Amino acid sequence: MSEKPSPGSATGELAETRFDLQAMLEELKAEIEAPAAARDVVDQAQIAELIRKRAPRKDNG
Amino acid sequence: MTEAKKIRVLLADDEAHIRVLIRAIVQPLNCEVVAEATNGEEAVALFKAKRPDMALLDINMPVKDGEAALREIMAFDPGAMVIMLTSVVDVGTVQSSIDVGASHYIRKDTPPLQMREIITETWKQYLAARGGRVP
Repeated sequence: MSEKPSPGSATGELAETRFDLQAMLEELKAEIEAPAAARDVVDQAQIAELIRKRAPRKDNG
Repeated sequence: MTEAKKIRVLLADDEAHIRVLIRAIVQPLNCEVVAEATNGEEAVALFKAKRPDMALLDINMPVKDGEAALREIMAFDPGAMVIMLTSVVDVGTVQSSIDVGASHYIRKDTPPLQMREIITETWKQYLAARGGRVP
């Protein structure tokens, strides 16, 4: 079975199904990771707070 | 920004229209854009060549990203004033840039007037920390 499955054949359909499953898994992974990424996003006010909290720079003068 | 002497600025962003926008934002602040870079490598080279008073760096740039450019600029001149101006706004990248020495970090979706306020305030603090002198 070294030949590529022809489109429409049972083997071809199986290959396509596997591909779709892979795409679906990628989508699910992205959906799961998206909320975590959204939590990490900071707005300008939070950035200002991070700037205020930073240690003083040692190069002054 | 009331100093008579123009503040010499380096802009680094790979998108030409963003550079036009940033130039329009900083020019009324007594700033003169002395160099424009389209990637991080150019930004570092131009910083070393032109020695601007202020650098505004994007993060997502080809060849060398803004974070790497920031590190190199701060290694070259630990007193450099660099403001990150970017769409990358995850807390890790923001904190890392601040830790490396960025004077401020501005989201690109910040309204222009607020950007001007942040840049002006950051410049005042920078000058105050140096007794009012531009290095």
